[in-house]
Amino acid sequence: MKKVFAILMLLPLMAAMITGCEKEPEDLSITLGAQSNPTVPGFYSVAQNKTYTMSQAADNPGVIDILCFYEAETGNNIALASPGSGIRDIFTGDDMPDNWTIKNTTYFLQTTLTADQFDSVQDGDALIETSFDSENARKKAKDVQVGQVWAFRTEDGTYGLLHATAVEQGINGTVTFLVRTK
Amino acid sequence: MLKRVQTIALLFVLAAAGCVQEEPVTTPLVLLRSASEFTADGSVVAPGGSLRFGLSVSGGGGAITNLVVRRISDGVAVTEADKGMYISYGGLDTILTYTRGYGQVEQWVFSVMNSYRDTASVSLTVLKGAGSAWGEIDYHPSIRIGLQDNVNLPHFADLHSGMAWDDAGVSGYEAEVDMSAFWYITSGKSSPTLTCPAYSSALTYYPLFGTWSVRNQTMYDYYTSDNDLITPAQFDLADNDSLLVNAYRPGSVSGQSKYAYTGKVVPFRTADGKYGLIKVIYADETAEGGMEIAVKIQK
Repeated sequence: MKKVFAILMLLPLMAAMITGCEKEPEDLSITLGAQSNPTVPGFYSVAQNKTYTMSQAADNPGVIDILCFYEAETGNNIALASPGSGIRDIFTGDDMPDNWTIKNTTYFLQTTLTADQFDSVQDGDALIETSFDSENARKKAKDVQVGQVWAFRTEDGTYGLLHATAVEQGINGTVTFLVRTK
Repeated sequence: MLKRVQTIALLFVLAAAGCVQEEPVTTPLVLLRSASEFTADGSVVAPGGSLRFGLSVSGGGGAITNLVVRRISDGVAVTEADKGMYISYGGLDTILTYTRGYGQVEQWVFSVMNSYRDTASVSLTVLKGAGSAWGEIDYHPSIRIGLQDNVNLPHFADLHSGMAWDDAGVSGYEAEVDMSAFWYITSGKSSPTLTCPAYSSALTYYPLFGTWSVRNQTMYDYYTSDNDLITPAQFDLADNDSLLVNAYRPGSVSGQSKYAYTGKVVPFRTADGKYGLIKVIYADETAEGGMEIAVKIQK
């Protein structure tokens, strides 16, 4: 009887301890695959914070802001661009961005921010917007490297910072990054 | 039975102690903007030249609570600004303008603190350029304003343009108002007093400020005024902004300046960063009285 009582007392307490403890922070990384990656989607909607495969993206072109591709010859390597950036001879098939009726353009600018500095930035911070310089921004974030922080502005005027945390080169490669937006 | 109670109590203590929330580790961030319109690290600027700093601040997980600006001129540090604030969302993006002083090397240090009392700072150095770059000034030889109970003269002055408005006419011009004046007895002394819309106790005399969406904060250098460090004759001779900038001592400023008697000269800095001098031509010492001032201010 005593044992039963002890177990009955312990169980809810253990449950309270487990559920009451602060949860580990979620991994909010986004990973995009290059054009031939068979498993990782390569298209990204900033507003929705959601990735799309090319066929899914072709059905929702208005929400796609960023795509990932790989091109070694030009030195782009793993790069980020957007449907409106005019990337050619990378994607193939009926669903390729060239055929989309809406092609949003996102501009990118590599910043001098460090990873630690990026970690200090919160969504909505004015710094996200002031880190972007429209005069020097480009339609591609070329040869993205781990640790780099890029500022971007989407077609609908959303500003963002993107911190690359992992890069795997190749047409099956990937880029993983964290994003802050304003 | 007693053992059971003790066991239960112990288990509760363990459960409570197991999940103590730690204070988050936060790191605020302050960056100097690098666009061409801003003064860059290593710039060479002649005394009197304009310095323009663009600051972008993130709280790093806490609200931004404090911004301090220090000028270290040839090793001598002066706090130019020490602003309390509470910005919990969106960070801070601000442009600060100052004037290059006479020191050979000026280091500017911008420090921020967040609500967890974590701090960050950034600095830059401005070298001394040849010659001088003292700027032009505007001169308003006579601005007449009423003290708090005066019903004939306007109460709200724009030190930039020299305009003044009464209670009815100020609507639409609130953002232009830099100064008002009132009279009271303080520490047993009669005190014609300069104030500004943002100064909290000004509401006692001008409750209208409480309804304004923009309430400018003009900082008056009371030390220079109290100690008569600038004479009316010096004021009259000033034909560029050198005296206006150098008379202002940022370590002894307030949003109000007491004892603005006839003949006093009060250095000030407006909310938009313009330095200036107020010469009190006359000041009544009654609440129904008036004040006439002359103003020199940076263009």
